[in-house]
Amino acid sequence: MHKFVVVLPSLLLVVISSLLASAVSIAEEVEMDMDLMQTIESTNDNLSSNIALENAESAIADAKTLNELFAIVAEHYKKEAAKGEDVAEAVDLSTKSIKFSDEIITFLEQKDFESAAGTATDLARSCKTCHNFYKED
Amino acid sequence: MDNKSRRDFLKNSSLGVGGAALAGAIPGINISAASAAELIDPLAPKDPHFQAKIKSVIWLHQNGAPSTLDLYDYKPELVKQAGKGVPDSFLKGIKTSTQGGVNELFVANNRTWKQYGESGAWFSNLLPNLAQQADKLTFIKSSVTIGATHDISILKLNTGDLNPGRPSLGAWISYALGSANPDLPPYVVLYNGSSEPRAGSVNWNSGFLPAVYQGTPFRPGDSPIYYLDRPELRSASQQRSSLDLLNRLNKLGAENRPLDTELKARLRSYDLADRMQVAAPEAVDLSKESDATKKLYGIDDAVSGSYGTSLLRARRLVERGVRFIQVVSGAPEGETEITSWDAHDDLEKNHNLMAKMVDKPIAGLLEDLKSRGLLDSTLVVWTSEFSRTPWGESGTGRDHNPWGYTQWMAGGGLKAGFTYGGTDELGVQVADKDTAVDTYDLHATVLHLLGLNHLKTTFINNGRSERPTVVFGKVVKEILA
Repeated sequence: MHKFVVVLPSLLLVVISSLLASAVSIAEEVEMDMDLMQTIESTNDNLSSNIALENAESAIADAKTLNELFAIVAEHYKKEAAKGEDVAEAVDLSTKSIKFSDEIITFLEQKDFESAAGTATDLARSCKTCHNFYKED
Repeated sequence: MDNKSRRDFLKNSSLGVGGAALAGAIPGINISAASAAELIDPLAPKDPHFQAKIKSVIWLHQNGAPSTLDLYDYKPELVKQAGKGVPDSFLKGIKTSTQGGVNELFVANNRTWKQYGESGAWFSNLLPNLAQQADKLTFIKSSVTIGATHDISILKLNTGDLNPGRPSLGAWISYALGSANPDLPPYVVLYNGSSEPRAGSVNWNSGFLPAVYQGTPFRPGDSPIYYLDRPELRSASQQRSSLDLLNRLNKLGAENRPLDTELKARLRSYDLADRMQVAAPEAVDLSKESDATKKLYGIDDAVSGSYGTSLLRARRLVERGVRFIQVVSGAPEGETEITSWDAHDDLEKNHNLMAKMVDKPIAGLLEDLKSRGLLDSTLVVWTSEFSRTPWGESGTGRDHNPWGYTQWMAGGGLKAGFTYGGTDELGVQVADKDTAVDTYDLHATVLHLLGLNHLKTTFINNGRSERPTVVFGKVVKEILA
C-alpha cells in the first residue's frame, strides 16, 4: 500500500506531463494550420483597407495582431530549421514580416499613411513569396 | 424645413445620395469640390493623381500562353541540355503538375536566334517583323503569376484575383479617369475569331465598381456592338425627335427631383447610344485607311488578316480617345484546329501559325503609332496568363510555366530597348526573386504611367477600401524613363 501511494503521484505526474506535452504539441499544430494563415490574410486585408481609409487606430490594432501572428510563424519555422528542415526562406520571410509590421506601426503612430501603405504592400509581397515556396497542393 | 431648403441643405453639405455614394471613392476628387456634372455623369473626365505619361493603353493578351522561350528568351544552356533531365536544383521551390511528370528538356528543331537593334534584344525566327521593332520594346523577363487553369490565370491577369468579382484593370482605369470621348466607351474589348474570348465577360467586367465602367466588346465585322444598329424602318431624324421628346419630358421630371442621379444617368445613356450608333461603326470602319496601312498590319494576308484588323481598329480607337483597349488574340480566319497559343503538343505547328498571326500586325501597330506620333502617349502591353516550360510535354509540346517568363511593354514613359530581370539558365523560373514582376506589379506600373497611384485608386465596397492591386503591387521603377 505504501509503495502504491508513493508510485501513484509519480504515475499521475507522468500522465499529466505527457498530456501537457501533447496539448502543447496540438496547440502548436493548431497555431500553424490554415486558420492561422487565413487569420493573417484577413487581418492583412483589413490593415490595407484601414490604412487607405486613414483609420489609424484600427490599422495599428491590425498591425499589432499581425506582428504577434508572424512571431508564431517565425518561431514555428525556426524550430523546423533546428530539426534540419529546408525552411531557411520561411524563417527569413517571416522574420522580415515581423520587421515590416513593426515599421507599419511606427508609420501609423506618426500618421504617415503613405509610407504605411507602401510597407503594407511589402508585407503582402513577403507573404506571397513565402506561399510560392511553401504552399500546399 | 420645406422641400426647397432641404434640397439646398443636402446639396450644399454634399450629403446627397450621389455624394454619399461617391465620397472618398473618386481619386483626385474631393467630394465637396466635385462638380454636379461629375456626380451626375460617372464617365466625366477626372484628373489623375500626377502628370500622366500616356493617354491610352492597348493590352495585347496572347490567349493560351505562348512559350516565351521560343520567342524572346534565348537559352543557350537549354539548347545544350536538350533531351536531358531537368536538374533538381532548377525545380527548387516550385510545384509542377505536368502530366507524366517533368520530362526531358525540349527544344524545337527549327528554332534559330538572332539579336536585333541597338539594344541587341534576342528574337527567334518566329517573329521576324517584331524583331525589327526591338528598340521600341521594354522587356520584363522576370514575370511571374499563379499557375492554374487558363481561365483562372486569365482572370488574374485581367482582374488581379483568382476568383470572379473584382473589377478588371480597364474598369479601374475608366472609373479613375472617366471618358476622354463622350461618344465612345472608355474601355473597349476587341477580338478576332468567330466567338468571344474564353471565359468571356468576367475578364472585362466592373466587379464591385458601377457597371458603367465595364468593357464594351466590339465584335469583328461592320456592326461592332450588339443591338446598337438603328432599325432600317426608322430614320435618324425620327429617332432624334423621339429622343428629344423623351429628353424634354424627363427634364421636366428631373427639375422636381434634382438628386435623382439614376434618371440623369438614364437620360445620358439614351443620348450616348444615339451618338454611338454613328461613332462606333465609324471608329472601326477601315475603308478610309490606305492599302499601305492595311498591308503594314498584315491585313492582306489570310493568317494575319483578322488580328491585323483588330489592331488597326485599336489604333483608331486610341486616336478617338478610348482609354483602354483590350485585344484578345483568337484564331486566323477559318482556322478551327489551332485557336490559341496553348501548345501542350506540336508546339512547332502551333507557334508557327500563332506567331505568323500576330507578328506582322503587332510590328505594324508599333510602326504606325510611332509614325503618327502616338507611341509617346500610348502604352502597348504584350502579355499572357503565363508561359510554357522548358521541358517537353507529349513529346513535342510544353506545359504551363507561371514561375518565370517574358512580357513586354512599349510606349510613353518607358526605357525603350531595355530588358528588366531574367530567368535561370534553363528558363524554368525567375533568376533573382527580388526582380519578380507579378500581375499586380504590372497593373501598378500601367496605372502609374496613366498618372494614377495604385494605392490611392480606391473604391469603398462593403465598408472596405479596395484598390486595383488588391493588397499587393509595386511599380517597376527600373523600367521607367
